[in-house]
Amino acid sequence: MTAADAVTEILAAVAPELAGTPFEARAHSIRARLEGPLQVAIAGRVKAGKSTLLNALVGERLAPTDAGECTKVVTWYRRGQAYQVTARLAGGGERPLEFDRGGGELEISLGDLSVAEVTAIDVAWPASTLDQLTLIDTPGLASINDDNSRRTREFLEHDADHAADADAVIYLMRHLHRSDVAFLDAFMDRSVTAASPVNAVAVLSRADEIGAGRRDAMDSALRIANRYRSDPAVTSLAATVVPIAGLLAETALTLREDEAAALRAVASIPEPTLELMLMSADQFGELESDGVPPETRRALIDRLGLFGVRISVDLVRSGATTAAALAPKLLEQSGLNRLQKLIADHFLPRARVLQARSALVALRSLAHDLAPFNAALADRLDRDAERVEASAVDFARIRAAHLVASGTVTVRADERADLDRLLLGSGNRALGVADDAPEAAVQQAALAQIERWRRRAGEPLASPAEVEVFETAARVGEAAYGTAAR
Amino acid sequence: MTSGTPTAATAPSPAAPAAPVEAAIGEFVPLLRALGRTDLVERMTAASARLKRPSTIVCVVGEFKQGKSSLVNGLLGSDVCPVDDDLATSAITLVRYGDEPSAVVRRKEGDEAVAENVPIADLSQWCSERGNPGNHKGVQRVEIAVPSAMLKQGLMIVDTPGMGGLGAGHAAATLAFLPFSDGLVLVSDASAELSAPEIEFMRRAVDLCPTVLFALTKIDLYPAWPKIFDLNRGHLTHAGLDVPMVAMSSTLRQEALARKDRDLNQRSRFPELISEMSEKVVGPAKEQAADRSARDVRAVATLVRGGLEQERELLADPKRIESVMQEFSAAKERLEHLRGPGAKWAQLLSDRVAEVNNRITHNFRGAMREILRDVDARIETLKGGNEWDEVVRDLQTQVANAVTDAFVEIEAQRQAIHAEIVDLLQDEDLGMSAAAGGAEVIDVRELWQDKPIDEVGSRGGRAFKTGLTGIRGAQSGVMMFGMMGTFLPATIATLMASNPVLLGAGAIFGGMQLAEDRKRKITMRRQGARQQLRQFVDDVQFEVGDQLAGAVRDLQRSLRDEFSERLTELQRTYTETAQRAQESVKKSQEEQQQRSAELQQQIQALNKIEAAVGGGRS
Repeated sequence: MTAADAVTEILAAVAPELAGTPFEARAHSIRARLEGPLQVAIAGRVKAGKSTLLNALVGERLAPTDAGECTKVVTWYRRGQAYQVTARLAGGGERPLEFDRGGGELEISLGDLSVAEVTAIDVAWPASTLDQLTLIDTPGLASINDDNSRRTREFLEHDADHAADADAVIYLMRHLHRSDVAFLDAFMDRSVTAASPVNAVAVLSRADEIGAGRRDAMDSALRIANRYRSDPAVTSLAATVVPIAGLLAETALTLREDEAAALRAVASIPEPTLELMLMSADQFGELESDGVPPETRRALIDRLGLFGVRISVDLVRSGATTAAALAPKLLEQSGLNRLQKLIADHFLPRARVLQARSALVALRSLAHDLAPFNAALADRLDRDAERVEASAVDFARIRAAHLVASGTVTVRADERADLDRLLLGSGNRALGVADDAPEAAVQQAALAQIERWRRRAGEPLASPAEVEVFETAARVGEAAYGTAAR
Repeated sequence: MTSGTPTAATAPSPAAPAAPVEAAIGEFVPLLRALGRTDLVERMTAASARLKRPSTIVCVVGEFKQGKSSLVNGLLGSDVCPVDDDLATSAITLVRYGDEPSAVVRRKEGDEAVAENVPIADLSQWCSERGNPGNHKGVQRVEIAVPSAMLKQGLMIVDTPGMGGLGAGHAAATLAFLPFSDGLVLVSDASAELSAPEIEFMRRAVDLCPTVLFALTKIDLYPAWPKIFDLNRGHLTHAGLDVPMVAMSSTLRQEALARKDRDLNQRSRFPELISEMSEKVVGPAKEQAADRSARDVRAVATLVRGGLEQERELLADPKRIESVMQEFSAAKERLEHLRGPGAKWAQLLSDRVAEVNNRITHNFRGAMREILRDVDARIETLKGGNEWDEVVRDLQTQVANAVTDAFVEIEAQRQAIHAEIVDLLQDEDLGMSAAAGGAEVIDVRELWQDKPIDEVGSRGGRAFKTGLTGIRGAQSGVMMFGMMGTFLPATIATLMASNPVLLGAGAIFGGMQLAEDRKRKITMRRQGARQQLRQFVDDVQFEVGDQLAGAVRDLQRSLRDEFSERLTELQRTYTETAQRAQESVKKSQEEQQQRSAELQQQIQALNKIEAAVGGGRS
């Protein structure tokens, strides 16, 4: 039984007794969160491209993006049956908000509410991506408006009594200096205590701009991301780093036929006019040319950026002349696929366990608050939670994985790969054998792991954290042995 | 502005105040040569050089990867500063004029300072993160010389390493350096609005530096740059900062220079930045240099004229030769004594320097102790990692302020000691006294009493009211920046990275730890924080103490040299005047008249020169 199932079971068991009390809603929300989609926060400094990336992940232009700093309130984008926008109020309660989607992006009106009165905005939207993920857009950190920074920190911070709202974090960073990377961002990563290499990935955002929008800009960005990926200072904070050209991804997913037509027209502008045009955004929008009116060109550069326009021209010339042909090529260039694959393969499976962990924290908090009213029930909840916590190998694994990945416990290079597989892999693969391997082979592999890690845990000089990691590894082996024997 | 010509930055010189001074020196030098005063010729040549190339320091600062080095290259019209997608400048780079391109890397090898010539093409090996990660090569600064027209006016551009999100160290080091620089260009690219830390930095910078410019870079890449520009203007106005703003594209500038394309150069908008810099930074610096040189000319003219007039008076009344010669030899004797090691002023100088040394050391230690106490008290109540970061940021600011104060104090003391020695020498009665009979008196005070530069530089901001102008461009400033720039950021980064108060990224896992356990951990972490703090303060005291001692030694040496030189010049004047006078009185009547006329002519020429530089007698 997974930890998530165990928590669900506890909640189901106490449901009748809580019915009709003020705690019913809380128990319900814990359960709903466990069963619902993962809550993934997109965080980063001001203008890192958070809203743009969110739009790219949803595949629609939803979140307002603007040259200025524009996300002021934490905004949730979740799957809904109907289009609906709600404000969660600081004083408790909710209120529906007016919204308009005339220009593509959502324009949400707070009405007579001030930003300070709203803790979060909830956008329900019938987009299929939101089935699996609830995406949370956060105001940039270190923004001019310090209230915005505070809001984000409050949202992401995690304390003993209150589980963080996000199960996982996509952290967007611009290209940084090495000494900055030493703590990813002096500000952000210290405060996002919920982030761990286990449930956080870093995105090198606006990657096309790193190489000044040159045609080889994404290659350059990839090299930089690779360098960060091998930097222990980075890997101790985030699982990996991928470069993404967010604007290009967003536009590729929403490219219109008339835009493709405009790009075709641009591609046919003769040299040397075109060369001069492609030199800067201003020149692209201003220079005289027959065929493509300046406003059309300005619209293109807003949608694609200089890099996007440059490679689009190349792509059109090499035969991708329709929106249908262009879009996938642009998407590939944007690097979004890499992030999507990362989310599906690594991020989600791990974050599930963390979600259960968050639920347990919430459960204990519930028990604490319940104590004055129903001491017996509170006590039972507390004990149940503790039992789950103590018995669930999942928690121990993810915690051990965190200790290793964050560098708290350093292991020998030859041990690292095996340990990662053991702590983060699933089924027989955790032991390094095939899923359909014969029982005897699985048991043999499990025994080898148990013996290996017990021995390491028993070394006299091992630190408590090391003992914990190695004991956990051995426990994983035991569990696998038991499963195989059954 | 030489409108739009895409040649390497030729800036206009507004209302060239240097011209009359330069012309005066041009006339003075042949006269001095004729008089055989090679020593004074040298002094005037130096004054003329200063005029042509006043040392003006402009710092280019900003966060990482904002295009600082590209901007510097654009200004120079050549690619001297290494630029790369994945390469950040890691060492302070000074770019100054040189007839031949060259580069020197100054670094520390163990405890030894090493200066090494390197090819400009290899610079990225030394001053970039990629070639020199974590500055393991111990580079303190890199000095580049290039034959650029822009620099030929005496401009020195300082390309600084990026300051990091919240100014971890570099910001403090840069702020500490600002009193020593003439201008600052804050660089931020058009991808985003100015951030709170950037604005905060500007706010502090305008108090310390006479000219602050804001440059919005990379406008070629961002169609929405005009909007960002307006937003930034709004932010700056809101913060009460009225600084000139320019937007530019280094990419277009580079293209323009490569293609010699005038239109493209206008589009790069570099001409605007260049003229702002010339007008606001180089122009005023030239005025100051002209003023200093003019005073130098006046001092030398006074000295020479004294000798000439003395001789002329003697020719008019040769009977007095005996008594005047006595006067001369007495004065020469006094000077001889003064030039020796036993002279009172030399004694005074070493006494004062010893005092200054003690006081500076004492004050600096005191300041550091106070900082330590203050931070210690704050650690007592520390809870989260954020608070620790705040403490560290305050700590670096306080340390930077203490270091700046120490250096500023040294410069203030230099002026005070200077004035004191002048007073002492005044009592020595070195001038040609009135007893020499009707002869003009050489006003010795004029010889070494440089007026404080502040009187001239009354333009601009609060910086000038703090009395810091005198130290602008001072060598100790550059030295200090080299030290602070490498030392402070590195140690601060360590302090922040090894955050002892950090509750840990694993807090999510520790969420259920018992409250008592957390309390115990917090106590342990505070203990760790205190240890780190002590270590840091120790390091600062060690490093900075060394540099301060060096600066005081430099002060002593420069004052000793200055006064010795002036005394030597004076002695030579007396010696030569005495010689000539003795020869003249022995000559025939006719020859004497001829000599008299010659002297009269020279004195008139001197008057003219003095009048040209705003001095002389009417």
